[in-house]
Amino acid sequence: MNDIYDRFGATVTFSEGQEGLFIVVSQEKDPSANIHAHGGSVVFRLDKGRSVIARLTLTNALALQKEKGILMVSGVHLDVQRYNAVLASLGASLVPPQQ
Amino acid sequence: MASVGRELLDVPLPEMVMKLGLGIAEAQRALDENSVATAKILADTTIPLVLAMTQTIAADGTVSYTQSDPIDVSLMQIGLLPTFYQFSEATIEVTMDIKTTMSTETNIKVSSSAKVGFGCWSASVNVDVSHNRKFGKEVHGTSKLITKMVPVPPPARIAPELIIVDNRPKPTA
Repeated sequence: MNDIYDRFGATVTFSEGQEGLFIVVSQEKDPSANIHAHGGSVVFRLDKGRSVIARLTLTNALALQKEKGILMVSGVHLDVQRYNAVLASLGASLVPPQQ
Repeated sequence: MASVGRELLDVPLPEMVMKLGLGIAEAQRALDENSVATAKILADTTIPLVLAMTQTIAADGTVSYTQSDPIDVSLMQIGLLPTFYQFSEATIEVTMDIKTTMSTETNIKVSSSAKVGFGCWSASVNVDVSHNRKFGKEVHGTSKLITKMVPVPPPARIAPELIIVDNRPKPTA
């Protein structure tokens, strides 16, 4: 895609926002090294390490998407209300947030 | 000669709007497909959830831990949802710089000749007038497309509805 907008003299910019959660799916190996190389951090591992939930900025996530061996980088978010409701339904006692 | 107004009317604005709209629709579809693919992964991936851990300190000071049996729950069940994005704004900005020039050039060439011989004479005067009018036009145009994309809440029915039925007897006072 770089070629297309370069050919027309256009510039594409993304405004940098805060870090967000992304699911990163790798073709074969653990993508942690790639995530760290793009300034991100692994939050937790899934599927024997081939997929992870990582914390990244949008521009770093887009850059990571172009890495060889990375199948998918897609934004996710945690619905805290739902998380608490599920835990409560399973019998976990919730600790109120500290003031 | 085309007027400045004509030049402005010639800007293919409807075509640009149409292509921008189609581009956004195509991008929106790709974004939605990506979010749906993510939702499938989140629904298919389960993790063992340990709800309770007990730390026991024995009389001799040794510490032991026990945990409740883990329960397998999908990532979507615990509230990890794909982020959906939506194009909220699209702007087309067209800037035109039109410069028109006109110059007129007039050349006049006068020549005369005369001839005499055997009682006759002739004379002529030739005048060549050339008149050139030159028009110049320079049109520079730039266009700028701005789109704004924002995250939006996922569709209401994407995650399974959580219904809690609590059949425990109510505690008596």
